[in-house]
Amino acid sequence: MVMNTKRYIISALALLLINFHIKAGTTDTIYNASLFGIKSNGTTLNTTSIQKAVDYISEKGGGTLRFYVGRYLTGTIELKSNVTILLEEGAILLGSTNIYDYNIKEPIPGLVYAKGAENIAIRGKGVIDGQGREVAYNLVDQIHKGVIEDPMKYDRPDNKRPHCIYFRECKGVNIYGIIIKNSATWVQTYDQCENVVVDSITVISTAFWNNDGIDIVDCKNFKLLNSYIDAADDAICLKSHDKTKRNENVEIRNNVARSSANGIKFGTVSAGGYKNIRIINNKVYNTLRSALTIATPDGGIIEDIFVDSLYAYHTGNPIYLRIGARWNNERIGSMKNITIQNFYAEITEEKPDAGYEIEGPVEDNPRNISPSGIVGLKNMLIENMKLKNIEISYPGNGNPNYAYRGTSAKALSEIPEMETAYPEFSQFKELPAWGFFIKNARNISFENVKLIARNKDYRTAIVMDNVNGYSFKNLQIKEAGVKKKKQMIKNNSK
Amino acid sequence: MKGIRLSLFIAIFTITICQAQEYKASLFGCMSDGITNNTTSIQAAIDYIAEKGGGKLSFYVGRYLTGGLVLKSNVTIELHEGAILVASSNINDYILYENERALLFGNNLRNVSIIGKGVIEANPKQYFLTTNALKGKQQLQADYLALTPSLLTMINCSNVKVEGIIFQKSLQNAQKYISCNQIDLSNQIIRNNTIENSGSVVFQNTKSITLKNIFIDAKGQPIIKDQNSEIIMVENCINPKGKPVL
Repeated sequence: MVMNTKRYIISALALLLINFHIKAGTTDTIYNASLFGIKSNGTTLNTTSIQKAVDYISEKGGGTLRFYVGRYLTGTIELKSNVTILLEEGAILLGSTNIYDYNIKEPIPGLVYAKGAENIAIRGKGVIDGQGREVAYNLVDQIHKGVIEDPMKYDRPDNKRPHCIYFRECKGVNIYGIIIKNSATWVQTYDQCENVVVDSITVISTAFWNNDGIDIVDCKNFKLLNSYIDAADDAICLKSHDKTKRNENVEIRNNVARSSANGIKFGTVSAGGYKNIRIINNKVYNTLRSALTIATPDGGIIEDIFVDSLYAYHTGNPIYLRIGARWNNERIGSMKNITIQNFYAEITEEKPDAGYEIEGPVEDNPRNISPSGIVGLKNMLIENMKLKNIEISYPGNGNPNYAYRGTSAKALSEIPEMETAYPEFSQFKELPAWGFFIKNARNISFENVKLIARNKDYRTAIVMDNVNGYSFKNLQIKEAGVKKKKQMIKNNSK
Repeated sequence: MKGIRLSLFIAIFTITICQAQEYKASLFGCMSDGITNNTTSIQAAIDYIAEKGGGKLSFYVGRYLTGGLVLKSNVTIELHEGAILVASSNINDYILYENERALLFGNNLRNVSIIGKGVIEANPKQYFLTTNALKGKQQLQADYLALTPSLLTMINCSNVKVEGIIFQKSLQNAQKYISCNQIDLSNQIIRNNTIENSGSVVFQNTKSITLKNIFIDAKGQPIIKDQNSEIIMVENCINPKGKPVL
């Protein structure tokens, strides 16, 4: 009887909660943009009227600001709690090309910006177009005129380039259905946000340098689902900027990514780390660098990473895992419990991203096509790494006259540690393997792994150096034109 | 007194020359997006630097699409790692001078350097598509094939240094030196040449040539030199088979 009463009370409470939720949903009032004098002509700068609309709706307890077909030119809009921006099909939120129309006094400006807001959303079949190339070059102009100061590292502005979306410390974020184009820097960043769902969006941004498709920074409970991302820089990127925070409980599922850098990347800035990240059923294509890079050069702790069903076509490199010591301030990053299963990759000899705007650089030459890399530090090994059901096809063709690295203990010891360098699959230039180069690791297991070289290569398939504990179960190596060849070199490994 | 003035002048002049000022490409509006044709802005940059007495034009990472450029004395072009000069695919965009057609062209110059780990490349597939289309419309003279552009042609120039550059996807010759003197080529990679007889380095009537650490993957003969040319030093210049090219 007591049990029943308890159950009854719990059910009643649950019902009440559900009821409350539905109520909150139904009170959603829709306000059309024209109500606030917002013009869809593409030439009227709407910043203040859109901001007024957002503030008004938020003050009224929340609701949706709806944009119908048209071009809505605007500078920075700060999104407030309980406000949804609804971009109907044909509606384009068009970023101003004037750098002063953005909140450049903030450390990181954005076209759609939010800080500390709760329950915010951008939805619909419409577009956010940052006009990033024009914004960036107008900023360059202001820097050269001496109005804005900037170090112009690599001859491009370091600071003040606006993101299309920048949300910080927000809770309850939903981005659904929209198309985001042409950012001046990272396309969209969610920094220290909680309970975020980004679903069914399209990103096309090859407008300027550092066009990351999506940056998930120190977030908790984040889902990126069913999206298509074509970006000049890393397509899907997890970062950790704060050493006291980390990315936790992130699910990346059913996405397609194209990049002139990496398809899916952890880092580069990785101060705190990453825990419980699930990357399931994604595709990567025409991508210059690695399909998957997991890097911790800045002291971050990486653990419990599960990658399942990742398919990579026409990419420059399959997998690169790296512990470094760059901006770590004597904290040493770590990487353990990484599972990669059902992974398929086709690596090309020609430049995989040729023809895209802001094509990636030709660098770290001379070097033959690089292998996958699993590279820890001497004093911090990559631990517990499982590779299961893997098939990777490499071009082979490694020519020792173009670039050469031997496999003697001495030759291997001459491969630089490069722990302070920017972590990139090509950073060591020539490596002595065509398939996998594994160094400074512990407890590595390969199960059902098939490595193919489509042409003869002077290198061996797998080279291991300082690997403490490894197992190979059903490893298949096929190198064209080669019958008998030692395909595995082990140095200081057991 | 006159002597002091003169030596002071020489000293100041030398300092000015030595401190070869660096000008970044963006200062002249050059765009690294790979699709903007930068010919006029890069040319304006070269001319400006030459008028200022010389200096260095620096390109940082990015693809700088350009047509033909006329080099000038005392102007250095530095292509930093990842910077690519991408040659236009339109034959009419190149410099045409007597019997030469080139992307980078120098005539009667002193002290010219092209340095850095960057790349100079063409796009043969697109170039020949465009060219054949023009030919089909009777818009090209019959000898257009003989005048396929080189990536770099220097005529009657002295003290030329090309160091570190990757020359790739040439349309014909990678580099051509005619009646030049003191040509110093080092640490180059010449590769990815797909067109018949492409990727060669050609010397005609050129003296005091030094070649050091060059990897040449040419479709034809890697080094083509006439009897009047004189190579004074060759060190570690090999083809993909590892064989010396000279």
